[in-house]
Amino acid sequence: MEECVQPSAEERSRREFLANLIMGIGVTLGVGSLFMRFFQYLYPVVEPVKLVEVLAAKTSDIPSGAVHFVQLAEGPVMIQNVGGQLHALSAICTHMGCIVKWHPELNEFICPCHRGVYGIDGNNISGPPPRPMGKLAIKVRDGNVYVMIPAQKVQT
Amino acid sequence: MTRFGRWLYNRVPVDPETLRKPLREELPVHLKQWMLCLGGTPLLLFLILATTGILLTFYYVPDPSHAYESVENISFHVRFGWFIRGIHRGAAQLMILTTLLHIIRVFGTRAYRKPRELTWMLGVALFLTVMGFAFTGYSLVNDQLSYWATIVGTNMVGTMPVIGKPLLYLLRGGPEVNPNTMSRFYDIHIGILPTITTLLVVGHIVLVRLHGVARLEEDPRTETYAFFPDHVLRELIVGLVVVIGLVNYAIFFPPHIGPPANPLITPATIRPEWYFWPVFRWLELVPEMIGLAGVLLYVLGMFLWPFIDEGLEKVAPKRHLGRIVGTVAFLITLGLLLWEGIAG
Repeated sequence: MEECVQPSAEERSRREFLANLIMGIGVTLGVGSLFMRFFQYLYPVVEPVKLVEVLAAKTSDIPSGAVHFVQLAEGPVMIQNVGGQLHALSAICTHMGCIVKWHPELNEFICPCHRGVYGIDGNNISGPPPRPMGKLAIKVRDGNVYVMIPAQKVQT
Repeated sequence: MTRFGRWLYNRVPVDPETLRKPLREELPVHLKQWMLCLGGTPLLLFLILATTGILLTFYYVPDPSHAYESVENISFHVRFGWFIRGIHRGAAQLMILTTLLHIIRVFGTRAYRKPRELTWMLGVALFLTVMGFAFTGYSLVNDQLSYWATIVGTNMVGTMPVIGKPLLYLLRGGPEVNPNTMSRFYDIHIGILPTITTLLVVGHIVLVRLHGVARLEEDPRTETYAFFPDHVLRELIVGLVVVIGLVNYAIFFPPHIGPPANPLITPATIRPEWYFWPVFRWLELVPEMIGLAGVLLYVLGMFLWPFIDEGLEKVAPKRHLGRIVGTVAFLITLGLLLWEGIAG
Protein backbone atom coordinates (compact mmCIF):
# COMPACT_ATOMS: atom_id res chain seq x y z
CA MET A 1 0.00 0.00 0.00
CA GLU A 2 1.20 3.50 -0.79
CA GLU A 3 2.00 5.66 2.13
CA CYS A 4 0.27 8.99 2.23
CA VAL A 5 2.67 11.66 3.51
CA GLN A 6 1.00 14.81 4.75
CA PRO A 7 2.95 17.98 3.81
CA SER A 8 4.26 19.99 6.76
CA ALA A 9 2.65 23.34 7.66
CA GLU A 10 5.65 25.20 6.26
CA GLU A 11 5.47 23.28 3.00
CA ARG A 12 1.72 23.92 2.79
CA SER A 13 2.10 27.63 3.23
CA ARG A 14 4.87 27.72 0.59
CA ARG A 15 2.67 25.80 -1.82
CA GLU A 16 -0.22 28.10 -1.06
CA PHE A 17 1.96 31.15 -1.61
CA LEU A 18 3.24 29.84 -4.96
CA ALA A 19 -0.27 28.92 -6.09
CA ASN A 20 -1.55 32.38 -5.14
CA LEU A 21 1.40 34.02 -6.88
CA ILE A 22 0.82 32.11 -10.12
CA MET A 23 -2.91 32.77 -10.02
CA GLY A 24 -2.30 36.44 -9.20
CA ILE A 25 0.07 36.86 -12.14
CA GLY A 26 -2.39 35.06 -14.42
CA VAL A 27 -5.31 37.22 -13.36
CA THR A 28 -3.25 40.43 -13.68
CA LEU A 29 -2.07 39.51 -17.17
CA GLY A 30 -5.50 38.36 -18.29
CA VAL A 31 -7.45 41.33 -16.99
CA GLY A 32 -4.59 43.66 -17.94
CA SER A 33 -4.66 42.52 -21.57
CA LEU A 34 -8.44 42.98 -21.60
CA PHE A 35 -8.03 46.58 -20.39
CA MET A 36 -5.24 47.06 -22.90
CA ARG A 37 -7.79 46.38 -25.67
CA PHE A 38 -10.14 48.98 -24.13
CA PHE A 39 -7.29 51.47 -24.14
CA GLN A 40 -6.35 50.65 -27.74
CA TYR A 41 -9.98 51.05 -28.76
CA LEU A 42 -10.06 54.54 -27.22
CA TYR A 43 -6.68 55.65 -28.56
CA PRO A 44 -7.24 57.37 -31.92
CA VAL A 45 -5.82 55.98 -35.13
CA VAL A 46 -3.86 58.84 -36.61
CA GLU A 47 -2.11 58.73 -39.94
CA PRO A 48 1.45 60.12 -39.96
CA VAL A 49 1.88 63.84 -40.66
CA LYS A 50 2.08 64.57 -44.37
CA LEU A 51 3.15 67.80 -46.02
CA VAL A 52 0.48 68.83 -48.49
CA GLU A 53 0.76 71.60 -51.05
CA VAL A 54 -2.24 73.90 -50.79
CA LEU A 55 -3.15 76.87 -52.95
CA ALA A 56 -3.25 79.75 -50.47
CA ALA A 57 -3.45 83.02 -52.43
CA LYS A 58 -2.53 84.90 -55.57
CA THR A 59 0.68 86.93 -55.54
CA SER A 60 -1.38 89.96 -56.54
CA ASP A 61 -3.33 89.65 -53.24
CA ILE A 62 -0.21 90.35 -51.20
CA PRO A 63 1.50 93.63 -52.11
CA SER A 64 4.87 94.50 -50.61
CA GLY A 65 4.63 95.05 -46.85
CA ALA A 66 1.25 93.36 -46.54
CA VAL A 67 0.27 90.47 -44.27
CA HIS A 68 -2.42 88.21 -45.66
CA PHE A 69 -4.46 85.80 -43.50
CA VAL A 70 -5.83 82.67 -45.12
CA GLN A 71 -7.86 79.97 -43.47
CA LEU A 72 -7.13 76.69 -45.17
CA ALA A 73 -8.89 73.45 -44.34
CA GLU A 74 -5.54 72.24 -43.00
CA GLY A 75 -5.05 75.26 -40.72
CA PRO A 76 -4.76 79.06 -40.57
CA VAL A 77 -1.81 80.67 -42.36
CA MET A 78 -0.27 84.15 -42.47
CA ILE A 79 1.48 85.04 -45.71
CA GLN A 80 3.58 88.17 -45.71
CA ASN A 81 5.43 90.08 -48.38
CA VAL A 82 8.68 91.54 -47.06
CA GLY A 83 10.29 93.55 -49.84
CA GLY A 84 8.98 91.26 -52.57
CA GLN A 85 9.97 88.11 -50.66
CA LEU A 86 7.03 85.93 -49.59
CA HIS A 87 7.02 84.12 -46.24
CA ALA A 88 4.38 81.95 -44.64
CA LEU A 89 3.78 81.37 -40.96
CA SER A 90 1.32 79.11 -39.21
CA ALA A 91 -1.17 81.41 -37.46
CA ILE A 92 -1.60 78.98 -34.56
CA CYS A 93 -0.18 80.31 -31.32
CA THR A 94 2.56 78.04 -30.01
CA HIS A 95 1.30 78.51 -26.45
CA MET A 96 -2.22 77.07 -26.31
CA GLY A 97 -3.27 76.81 -29.93
CA CYS A 98 -5.47 79.91 -30.44
CA ILE A 99 -5.29 81.83 -33.73
CA VAL A 100 -3.10 84.91 -33.60
CA LYS A 101 -4.19 88.21 -35.09
CA TRP A 102 -2.05 90.60 -37.14
CA HIS A 103 -1.93 94.15 -35.76
CA PRO A 104 -0.46 96.35 -38.54
CA GLU A 105 -0.31 99.43 -36.31
CA LEU A 106 2.04 97.59 -33.91
CA ASN A 107 3.73 95.40 -36.52
CA GLU A 108 3.00 92.45 -34.26
CA PHE A 109 1.01 89.24 -34.13
CA ILE A 110 -0.98 89.09 -30.90
CA CYS A 111 -2.77 86.06 -29.52
CA PRO A 112 -6.12 87.01 -27.97
CA CYS A 113 -6.15 84.08 -25.52
CA HIS A 114 -3.18 84.81 -23.24
CA ARG A 115 -1.73 87.92 -24.91
CA GLY A 116 1.28 86.26 -26.48
CA VAL A 117 3.12 88.66 -28.80
CA TYR A 118 5.18 87.75 -31.88
CA GLY A 119 7.22 90.03 -34.15
CA ILE A 120 6.68 90.33 -37.89
CA ASP A 121 9.23 87.51 -38.41
CA GLY A 122 7.14 85.23 -36.18
CA ASN A 123 9.60 85.30 -33.26
CA ASN A 124 7.98 85.30 -29.84
CA ILE A 125 8.59 88.67 -28.18
CA SER A 126 6.59 88.64 -24.97
CA GLY A 127 3.91 86.76 -23.08
CA PRO A 128 3.75 83.02 -22.55
CA PRO A 129 4.46 81.55 -26.06
CA PRO A 130 7.38 79.10 -25.72
CA ARG A 131 8.66 79.32 -29.30
CA PRO A 132 8.30 81.28 -32.58
CA MET A 133 5.32 80.74 -34.87
CA GLY A 134 5.79 77.75 -37.18
CA LYS A 135 7.44 78.63 -40.50
CA LEU A 136 5.87 77.04 -43.58
CA ALA A 137 7.59 76.41 -46.91
CA ILE A 138 6.15 78.34 -49.83
CA LYS A 139 6.08 77.84 -53.61
CA VAL A 140 5.11 80.44 -56.18
CA ARG A 141 3.89 79.18 -59.52
CA ASP A 142 2.04 81.08 -62.28
CA GLY A 143 1.13 83.95 -59.97
CA ASN A 144 -0.23 81.55 -57.34
CA VAL A 145 1.14 81.06 -53.85
CA TYR A 146 1.21 77.48 -52.56
CA VAL A 147 1.93 76.68 -48.95
CA MET A 148 3.36 73.39 -47.74
CA ILE A 149 1.28 72.60 -44.71
CA PRO A 150 1.48 69.60 -42.38
CA ALA A 151 -1.79 67.66 -42.37
CA GLN A 152 -2.97 64.65 -40.44
CA LYS A 153 -6.03 62.49 -40.92
CA VAL A 154 -7.98 60.99 -38.06
CA GLN A 155 -10.53 58.19 -38.10
CA THR A 156 -13.85 59.64 -36.94
CA MET B 1 -44.26 44.72 12.77
CA THR B 2 -47.06 45.12 10.25
CA ARG B 3 -47.99 42.34 7.84
CA PHE B 4 -46.28 44.14 4.99
CA GLY B 5 -43.26 44.77 7.23
CA ARG B 6 -42.99 41.08 7.98
CA TRP B 7 -43.42 40.19 4.30
CA LEU B 8 -40.63 42.61 3.36
CA TYR B 9 -38.38 41.46 6.22
CA ASN B 10 -38.69 37.84 5.05
CA ARG B 11 -37.51 38.88 1.60
CA VAL B 12 -34.97 41.53 2.64
CA PRO B 13 -33.67 40.21 5.95
CA VAL B 14 -32.18 43.42 7.30
CA ASP B 15 -33.09 44.49 10.82
CA PRO B 16 -34.96 47.84 10.56
CA GLU B 17 -33.04 48.96 13.65
CA THR B 18 -29.75 48.72 11.69
CA LEU B 19 -31.21 51.03 9.07
CA ARG B 20 -32.45 53.49 11.67
CA LYS B 21 -29.13 53.70 13.51
CA PRO B 22 -27.38 56.20 11.20
CA LEU B 23 -30.40 58.51 11.49
CA ARG B 24 -29.92 58.71 15.24
CA GLU B 25 -26.36 60.01 15.07
CA GLU B 26 -25.65 62.87 17.43
CA LEU B 27 -24.02 65.90 15.81
CA PRO B 28 -22.00 68.68 17.46
CA VAL B 29 -24.01 71.89 17.81
CA HIS B 30 -21.71 73.98 15.59
CA LEU B 31 -23.36 72.26 12.61
CA LYS B 32 -26.42 74.39 13.27
CA GLN B 33 -24.58 77.28 11.59
CA TRP B 34 -24.99 77.24 7.81
CA MET B 35 -21.36 78.11 7.09
CA LEU B 36 -20.30 75.05 9.06
CA CYS B 37 -22.59 72.52 7.38
CA LEU B 38 -21.96 73.36 3.73
CA GLY B 39 -21.21 69.80 2.72
CA GLY B 40 -24.86 68.91 2.20
CA THR B 41 -25.47 71.71 -0.31
CA PRO B 42 -23.15 70.36 -3.06
CA LEU B 43 -24.84 66.97 -2.61
CA LEU B 44 -28.25 68.51 -3.17
CA LEU B 45 -26.88 70.43 -6.16
CA PHE B 46 -25.42 67.20 -7.58
CA LEU B 47 -28.90 65.67 -7.51
CA ILE B 48 -30.41 68.77 -9.15
CA LEU B 49 -27.66 68.74 -11.81
CA ALA B 50 -28.18 65.03 -12.49
CA THR B 51 -31.95 65.53 -12.90
CA THR B 52 -31.75 68.61 -15.13
CA GLY B 53 -28.80 67.05 -16.99
CA ILE B 54 -30.83 63.96 -17.85
CA LEU B 55 -33.64 66.23 -19.03
CA LEU B 56 -31.24 68.18 -21.25
CA THR B 57 -30.03 64.98 -22.94
CA PHE B 58 -33.54 64.48 -24.35
CA TYR B 59 -32.97 67.36 -26.78
CA TYR B 60 -29.21 67.85 -26.88
CA VAL B 61 -27.33 66.40 -29.89
CA PRO B 62 -23.65 65.67 -29.16
CA ASP B 63 -22.41 66.25 -32.68
CA PRO B 64 -20.40 69.34 -33.71
CA SER B 65 -22.66 70.08 -36.66
CA HIS B 66 -25.86 69.97 -34.56
CA ALA B 67 -24.83 70.67 -30.97
CA TYR B 68 -25.09 74.47 -31.17
CA GLU B 69 -28.50 74.32 -32.89
CA SER B 70 -29.76 71.85 -30.30
CA VAL B 71 -28.70 74.12 -27.42
CA GLU B 72 -30.39 77.02 -29.21
CA ASN B 73 -33.47 74.86 -29.59
CA ILE B 74 -33.47 73.99 -25.89
CA SER B 75 -32.92 77.63 -24.89
CA PHE B 76 -35.47 79.27 -27.17
CA HIS B 77 -37.98 76.75 -28.54
CA VAL B 78 -38.48 73.73 -26.31
CA ARG B 79 -41.18 74.36 -23.70
CA PHE B 80 -39.39 75.37 -20.47
CA GLY B 81 -36.07 74.48 -22.11
CA TRP B 82 -34.62 77.81 -20.96
CA PHE B 83 -35.75 76.97 -17.44
CA ILE B 84 -34.13 73.53 -17.33
CA ARG B 85 -30.91 74.82 -18.89
CA GLY B 86 -30.99 77.86 -16.59
CA ILE B 87 -31.30 75.67 -13.48
CA HIS B 88 -28.55 73.35 -14.76
CA ARG B 89 -26.25 76.30 -15.44
CA GLY B 90 -27.05 78.06 -12.17
CA ALA B 91 -26.67 74.85 -10.15
CA ALA B 92 -23.29 74.24 -11.80
CA GLN B 93 -22.07 77.71 -10.81
CA LEU B 94 -23.41 77.30 -7.30
CA MET B 95 -21.89 73.83 -7.06
CA ILE B 96 -18.43 75.26 -7.60
CA LEU B 97 -19.07 78.12 -5.18
CA THR B 98 -20.44 75.95 -2.36
CA THR B 99 -17.77 73.27 -2.86
CA LEU B 100 -15.12 76.00 -2.60
CA LEU B 101 -16.76 77.44 0.54
CA HIS B 102 -16.96 73.94 2.03
CA ILE B 103 -13.25 73.37 1.33
CA ILE B 104 -12.35 76.77 2.82
CA ARG B 105 -14.43 76.00 5.91
CA VAL B 106 -12.87 72.56 6.45
CA PHE B 107 -9.47 74.11 5.82
CA GLY B 108 -10.10 76.96 8.27
CA THR B 109 -11.30 74.73 11.08
CA ARG B 110 -8.61 72.09 10.33
CA ALA B 111 -11.22 69.34 10.27
CA TYR B 112 -8.98 67.34 7.91
CA ARG B 113 -6.54 66.29 10.63
CA LYS B 114 -5.89 62.70 11.74
CA PRO B 115 -7.84 60.44 11.29
CA ARG B 116 -9.83 62.31 8.62
CA GLU B 117 -7.10 62.72 5.98
CA LEU B 118 -8.81 60.39 3.51
CA THR B 119 -12.13 62.21 3.87
CA TRP B 120 -10.30 65.41 2.86
CA MET B 121 -8.54 63.69 -0.07
CA LEU B 122 -11.81 62.29 -1.39
CA GLY B 123 -13.21 65.82 -1.03
CA VAL B 124 -10.39 67.30 -3.12
CA ALA B 125 -10.96 64.57 -5.72
CA LEU B 126 -14.63 65.57 -5.74
CA PHE B 127 -13.67 69.20 -6.29
CA LEU B 128 -11.57 68.13 -9.29
CA THR B 129 -14.49 66.16 -10.74
CA VAL B 130 -16.65 69.28 -10.30
CA MET B 131 -14.11 71.28 -12.29
CA GLY B 132 -14.06 68.48 -14.89
CA PHE B 133 -17.85 68.66 -15.12
CA ALA B 134 -17.68 72.42 -15.60
CA PHE B 135 -15.04 72.21 -18.33
CA THR B 136 -16.61 69.39 -20.31
CA GLY B 137 -20.13 70.76 -19.79
CA TYR B 138 -19.33 74.18 -21.17
CA SER B 139 -17.55 72.70 -24.18
CA LEU B 140 -20.77 70.92 -25.18
CA VAL B 141 -22.56 74.21 -25.91
CA ASN B 142 -20.23 74.58 -28.92
CA ASP B 143 -20.26 78.36 -29.07
CA GLN B 144 -17.08 80.36 -29.58
CA LEU B 145 -16.17 80.38 -25.90
CA SER B 146 -16.67 76.63 -25.53
CA TYR B 147 -14.71 75.84 -28.68
CA TRP B 148 -11.68 77.94 -27.76
CA ALA B 149 -11.83 76.87 -24.11
CA THR B 150 -11.65 73.27 -25.37
CA ILE B 151 -8.65 74.11 -27.55
CA VAL B 152 -6.80 75.84 -24.70
CA GLY B 153 -7.83 73.37 -21.99
CA THR B 154 -6.80 70.30 -23.96
CA ASN B 155 -3.55 71.96 -25.11
CA MET B 156 -2.75 72.57 -21.47
CA VAL B 157 -2.96 68.82 -20.88
CA GLY B 158 -0.71 68.31 -23.92
CA THR B 159 2.12 70.39 -22.45
CA MET B 160 2.68 67.87 -19.65
CA PRO B 161 6.01 66.10 -20.05
CA VAL B 162 5.98 62.47 -21.30
CA ILE B 163 2.28 61.66 -20.76
CA GLY B 164 1.00 64.98 -22.17
CA LYS B 165 0.76 64.02 -25.82
CA PRO B 166 -0.81 60.54 -25.40
CA LEU B 167 -3.26 62.04 -22.92
CA LEU B 168 -4.10 64.85 -25.35
CA TYR B 169 -4.73 62.34 -28.16
CA LEU B 170 -6.88 60.24 -25.87
CA LEU B 171 -8.90 63.24 -24.72
CA ARG B 172 -9.37 64.75 -28.17
CA GLY B 173 -9.62 61.48 -30.05
CA GLY B 174 -6.94 62.81 -32.40
CA PRO B 175 -4.15 65.38 -32.54
CA GLU B 176 -6.55 68.28 -33.16
CA VAL B 177 -10.03 69.09 -31.83
CA ASN B 178 -12.28 67.08 -34.17
CA PRO B 179 -15.78 65.51 -34.16
CA ASN B 180 -14.45 62.73 -31.88
CA THR B 181 -13.68 65.32 -29.23
CA MET B 182 -17.28 66.25 -28.63
CA SER B 183 -18.46 62.64 -28.26
CA ARG B 184 -15.65 62.06 -25.81
CA PHE B 185 -16.46 65.15 -23.77
CA TYR B 186 -20.12 64.18 -23.79
CA ASP B 187 -19.28 60.67 -22.56
CA ILE B 188 -17.04 62.08 -19.86
CA HIS B 189 -19.70 64.61 -18.83
CA ILE B 190 -22.71 62.30 -18.68
CA GLY B 191 -21.17 58.88 -18.05
CA ILE B 192 -17.67 58.75 -16.65
CA LEU B 193 -17.68 61.76 -14.31
CA PRO B 194 -21.13 61.05 -12.81
CA THR B 195 -20.03 57.46 -12.04
CA ILE B 196 -16.75 58.59 -10.46
CA THR B 197 -18.52 61.38 -8.56
CA THR B 198 -21.17 59.01 -7.19
CA LEU B 199 -18.48 56.60 -5.94
CA LEU B 200 -16.49 59.47 -4.40
CA VAL B 201 -19.58 60.98 -2.76
CA VAL B 202 -20.49 57.62 -1.23
CA GLY B 203 -16.91 57.16 0.02
CA HIS B 204 -16.79 60.72 1.38
CA ILE B 205 -20.10 60.41 3.23
CA VAL B 206 -19.33 56.92 4.59
CA LEU B 207 -16.04 58.22 6.00
CA VAL B 208 -17.72 61.31 7.49
CA ARG B 209 -20.30 59.08 9.17
CA LEU B 210 -17.76 56.48 10.35
CA HIS B 211 -15.59 59.09 12.04
CA GLY B 212 -18.44 61.31 13.12
CA VAL B 213 -18.39 65.05 12.44
CA ALA B 214 -15.12 66.64 13.64
CA ARG B 215 -15.47 68.89 16.68
CA LEU B 216 -14.26 72.45 16.38
CA GLU B 217 -10.82 72.98 17.88
CA GLU B 218 -11.67 75.98 20.04
CA ASP B 219 -15.31 75.17 20.70
CA PRO B 220 -15.85 74.23 24.37
CA ARG B 221 -19.48 73.16 23.79
CA THR B 222 -20.13 69.46 24.22
CA GLU B 223 -23.88 69.47 23.48
CA THR B 224 -25.14 67.52 20.52
CA TYR B 225 -28.34 67.30 18.53
CA ALA B 226 -29.91 64.55 16.47
CA PHE B 227 -29.23 64.01 12.76
CA PHE B 228 -32.88 63.09 12.29
CA PRO B 229 -35.11 65.04 12.31
CA ASP B 230 -33.27 68.16 13.57
CA HIS B 231 -30.36 68.31 11.16
CA VAL B 232 -32.28 66.92 8.21
CA LEU B 233 -34.83 69.72 8.67
CA ARG B 234 -32.05 72.31 8.67
CA GLU B 235 -30.63 70.84 5.47
CA LEU B 236 -34.12 70.92 3.96
CA ILE B 237 -34.42 74.63 4.75
CA VAL B 238 -31.03 75.27 3.14
CA GLY B 239 -32.15 73.15 0.20
CA LEU B 240 -35.35 75.16 -0.20
CA VAL B 241 -33.42 78.45 -0.15
CA VAL B 242 -31.05 77.03 -2.79
CA VAL B 243 -33.93 75.89 -5.01
CA ILE B 244 -35.73 79.24 -4.68
CA GLY B 245 -32.47 81.01 -5.53
CA LEU B 246 -31.91 78.80 -8.58
CA VAL B 247 -35.45 79.26 -9.89
CA ASN B 248 -35.08 83.03 -9.60
CA TYR B 249 -31.67 82.92 -11.24
CA ALA B 250 -33.09 80.93 -14.16
CA ILE B 251 -36.00 83.37 -14.52
CA PHE B 252 -34.12 86.66 -14.18
CA PHE B 253 -30.90 85.56 -15.91
CA PRO B 254 -32.09 83.10 -18.56
CA PRO B 255 -29.21 81.23 -20.20
CA HIS B 256 -27.76 82.85 -23.28
CA ILE B 257 -25.61 81.42 -26.02
CA GLY B 258 -22.65 83.09 -27.69
CA PRO B 259 -21.88 83.11 -31.41
CA PRO B 260 -21.42 79.59 -32.86
CA ALA B 261 -17.99 77.96 -32.74
CA ASN B 262 -15.73 79.19 -35.50
CA PRO B 263 -12.41 77.37 -35.82
CA LEU B 264 -11.21 80.14 -38.15
CA ILE B 265 -11.35 83.01 -35.68
CA THR B 266 -10.34 83.26 -32.08
CA PRO B 267 -12.51 86.06 -30.66
CA ALA B 268 -10.67 89.25 -29.72
CA THR B 269 -11.84 89.06 -26.13
CA ILE B 270 -11.95 85.60 -24.76
CA ARG B 271 -11.82 84.28 -21.26
CA PRO B 272 -13.29 81.29 -19.48
CA GLU B 273 -15.91 81.22 -16.72
CA TRP B 274 -14.94 82.86 -13.41
CA TYR B 275 -13.80 79.66 -11.71
CA PHE B 276 -10.99 79.24 -14.22
CA TRP B 277 -9.83 82.87 -13.95
CA PRO B 278 -6.98 82.22 -11.47
CA VAL B 279 -5.51 79.53 -13.76
CA PHE B 280 -6.13 81.71 -16.84
CA ARG B 281 -4.31 84.71 -15.33
CA TRP B 282 -1.54 82.50 -14.01
CA LEU B 283 -0.93 81.04 -17.49
CA GLU B 284 -0.68 84.55 -18.88
CA LEU B 285 1.95 85.56 -16.34
CA VAL B 286 4.43 82.72 -16.52
CA PRO B 287 6.04 80.50 -19.18
CA GLU B 288 4.16 77.37 -20.26
CA MET B 289 6.05 74.75 -18.23
CA ILE B 290 6.11 76.81 -15.04
CA GLY B 291 2.42 77.52 -15.53
CA LEU B 292 1.53 73.86 -15.75
CA ALA B 293 3.93 72.78 -13.01
CA GLY B 294 2.41 75.45 -10.76
CA VAL B 295 -1.13 74.19 -11.33
CA LEU B 296 -0.13 70.55 -10.77
CA LEU B 297 1.82 71.39 -7.61
CA TYR B 298 -1.13 73.40 -6.29
CA VAL B 299 -3.48 70.46 -6.79
CA LEU B 300 -0.98 68.02 -5.27
CA GLY B 301 -0.53 70.38 -2.32
CA MET B 302 -4.30 70.45 -1.81
CA PHE B 303 -4.47 66.64 -1.90
CA LEU B 304 -1.68 66.13 0.58
CA TRP B 305 -2.56 69.11 2.75
CA PRO B 306 -3.40 67.13 5.93
CA PHE B 307 0.08 65.55 5.84
CA ILE B 308 1.83 68.81 4.91
CA ASP B 309 0.09 70.58 7.78
CA GLU B 310 1.06 67.79 10.17
CA GLY B 311 4.68 68.05 8.99
CA LEU B 312 4.72 71.83 9.45
CA GLU B 313 3.27 71.42 12.92
CA LYS B 314 6.13 69.06 13.80
CA VAL B 315 8.77 71.39 12.36
CA ALA B 316 7.57 74.42 14.30
CA PRO B 317 4.91 73.60 16.88
CA LYS B 318 2.38 76.31 17.75
CA ARG B 319 3.66 78.63 14.99
CA HIS B 320 0.58 77.92 12.85
CA LEU B 321 2.80 77.58 9.76
CA GLY B 322 0.09 75.52 8.05
CA ARG B 323 -2.42 78.28 8.52
CA ILE B 324 0.05 80.86 7.16
CA VAL B 325 0.97 78.78 4.06
CA GLY B 326 -2.68 77.97 3.38
CA THR B 327 -3.80 81.58 3.81
CA VAL B 328 -1.06 82.82 1.47
CA ALA B 329 -2.09 80.23 -1.18
CA PHE B 330 -5.72 81.24 -0.76
CA LEU B 331 -4.92 84.96 -1.05
CA ILE B 332 -2.81 84.39 -4.17
CA THR B 333 -5.68 82.46 -5.77
CA LEU B 334 -8.18 85.14 -4.79
CA GLY B 335 -5.78 87.83 -6.02
CA LEU B 336 -5.42 86.15 -9.43
CA LEU B 337 -9.20 85.75 -9.66
CA LEU B 338 -9.87 89.41 -8.83
CA TRP B 339 -7.07 90.60 -11.10
CA GLU B 340 -8.54 88.72 -14.05
CA GLY B 341 -12.02 89.85 -13.05
CA ILE B 342 -11.11 93.54 -12.93
CA ALA B 343 -8.36 93.88 -15.52
CA GLY B 344 -9.20 91.01 -17.91
